Amino acid sequence: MLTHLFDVALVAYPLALLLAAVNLFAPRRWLDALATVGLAIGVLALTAYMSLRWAEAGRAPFSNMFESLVLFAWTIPLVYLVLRIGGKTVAVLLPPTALLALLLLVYASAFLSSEIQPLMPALRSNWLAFHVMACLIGYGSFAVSCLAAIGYLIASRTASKVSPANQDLLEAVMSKTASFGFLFLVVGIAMGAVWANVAWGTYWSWDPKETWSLITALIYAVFLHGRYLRGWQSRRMAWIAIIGFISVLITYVGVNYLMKGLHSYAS
Amino acid sequence: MSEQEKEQRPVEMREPKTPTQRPFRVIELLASMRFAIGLVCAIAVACIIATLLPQGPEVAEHLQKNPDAGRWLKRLAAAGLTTVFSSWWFIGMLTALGASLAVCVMRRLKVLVSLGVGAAGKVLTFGTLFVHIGILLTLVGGVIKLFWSERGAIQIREGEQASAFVTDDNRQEPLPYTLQLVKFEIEHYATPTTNTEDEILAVQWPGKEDGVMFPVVIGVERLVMSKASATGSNQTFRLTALRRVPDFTIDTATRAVQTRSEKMLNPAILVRITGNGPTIERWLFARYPNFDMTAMSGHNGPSASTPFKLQYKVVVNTPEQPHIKSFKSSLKILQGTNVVREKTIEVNSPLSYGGYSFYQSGYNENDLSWTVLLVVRDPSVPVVYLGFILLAAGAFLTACWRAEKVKEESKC
Repeated sequence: MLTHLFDVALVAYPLALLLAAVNLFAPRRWLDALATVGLAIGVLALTAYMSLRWAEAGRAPFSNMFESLVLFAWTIPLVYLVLRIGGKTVAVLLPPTALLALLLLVYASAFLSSEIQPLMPALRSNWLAFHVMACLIGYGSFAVSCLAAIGYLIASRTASKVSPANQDLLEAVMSKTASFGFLFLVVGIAMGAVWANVAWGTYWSWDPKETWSLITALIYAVFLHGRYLRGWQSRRMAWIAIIGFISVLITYVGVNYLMKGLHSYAS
Repeated sequence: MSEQEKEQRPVEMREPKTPTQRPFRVIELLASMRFAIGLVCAIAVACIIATLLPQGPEVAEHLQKNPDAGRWLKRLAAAGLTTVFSSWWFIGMLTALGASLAVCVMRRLKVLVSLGVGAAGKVLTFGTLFVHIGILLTLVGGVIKLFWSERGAIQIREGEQASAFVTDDNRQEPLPYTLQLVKFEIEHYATPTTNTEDEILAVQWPGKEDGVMFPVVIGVERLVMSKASATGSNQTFRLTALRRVPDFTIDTATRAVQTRSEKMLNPAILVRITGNGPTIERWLFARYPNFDMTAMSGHNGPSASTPFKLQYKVVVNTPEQPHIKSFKSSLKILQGTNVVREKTIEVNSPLSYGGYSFYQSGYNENDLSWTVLLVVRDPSVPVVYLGFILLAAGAFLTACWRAEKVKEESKC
């Protein structure tokens, strides 16, 4: 059953990608609607997959790289769908969103073991679910913010082909998702700190993952101050959103493989 | 942004007008957003450097691996780049950030009290205020931790008592009560108690030490490429395990293969081999690797031979070492002879009493009656936790308020 649900997502995401890509070149409302439904089916399948895995393992399925990648491949399209439900018609972001989620799923299924492993003593905590979930929702928001930033930069170079309204929408999506990403990242870091204090007697130890999550938070703090208080130009904001997401990727993947620390089990 | 646009921003977004008197210049610098953003960027760069260069004890380890790196590591150490987080300049930057946040908070409070703002503005003002106070409290907590926290360890045997611990700098520090270890135990995850078997189909080429091995899965076809050096020509063979019996026997009257029991007493598999010649079906026996029985009648003889040797192997795995689930120490706290607190602690579940917390830290592999406890007294924790709550609440308010603002903008 678990495998079948995973396979549904593996089929739904590329289908959504294909339909959304066709919609870009030959815009049809029904194509956009079908692509969105495809993405939603993928998200629902992964929701069911993670729920069943949770029930089978008897603990939150966020304890190794495979489970974490599946969660990431769930949060990115989820953030996009929340935007759609909130009335933001950002069809241009659907193909890269589906592609990113698909790549994460393919990598997880091709290169990582999906076997359910027993948890090491330090990970046996309810904080695990809250901390990882909050951080990954934050990362998903930052991913969509980065995609909107790239879209904005491309749109601003081909201004004649993209309407100013669409540019403004991309800019608004970039800022809004960065705001929500910052909220979830801050909550995730705080929960991780509380967990570390309960497990190791210290809430902060300058572990590489902690440090890089702080760097990411600082970059988005600069973004939010620049956007809302300094009135920086949108192009500059777009570049900061891209740098911010590079920092997210280093925090999420780079640190696990390149630097030793308390989070080494994540690799 | 034009002056007119700046004036049109909500009052809490505007930077306060700066007095030009000399005594206010430092405060104005600290209140300046440009200064704050520059400081945040500098802290981020310092953090990046700290994660890329070896820090503290890692330097000695790095020097052991790369003796040639000593010269440039000395230069980096002199610049404080190998002890970034405890260097005066990094702590100075954090202090400046704290001062900047304090000035910012004071000014926002002043604006809130003196001018008053609209409903939406209040949400933003409170949101940003909470975020800044939250970060400030976290930094204050860091200072409290630096100067007033204590860390150490107690190594204690079952039944024994301890009324002091050894600090990180090797001092004996008394506890305000006595701690007793009642019991230490290691809990394991349940594992299968019976042996398990892996079944393998091995293909061995004559004259070659290396072979190919496949796990036996009934019905799954495996491809085997012949080696030119061995046969003179390239050939592809397809191997399929058709049937498996755990305890092989044959009815001498009907020649039908059956199993005597479900125990692995005489395991055998029927393999179909398809190559350039006729298809062969052959029984392979795990206990008798040199004995094979070709199933297809009429193909015994030279045509039934293959250029490789096939073997069916059953590897028996003994139960693996079970995974550790938890380390548990049952503790009692005594005031005189009275037990005032008891708890079984484990990782993620410490015991806190009288300002001290005891964490399960380690154990003695050779004598499981010992446990090692981490002892922490950290008065900064409530301050930092309050900071986290304000930070999260403030980020929530500002994100929601901005979401509303963005929604309004997109309607225009």
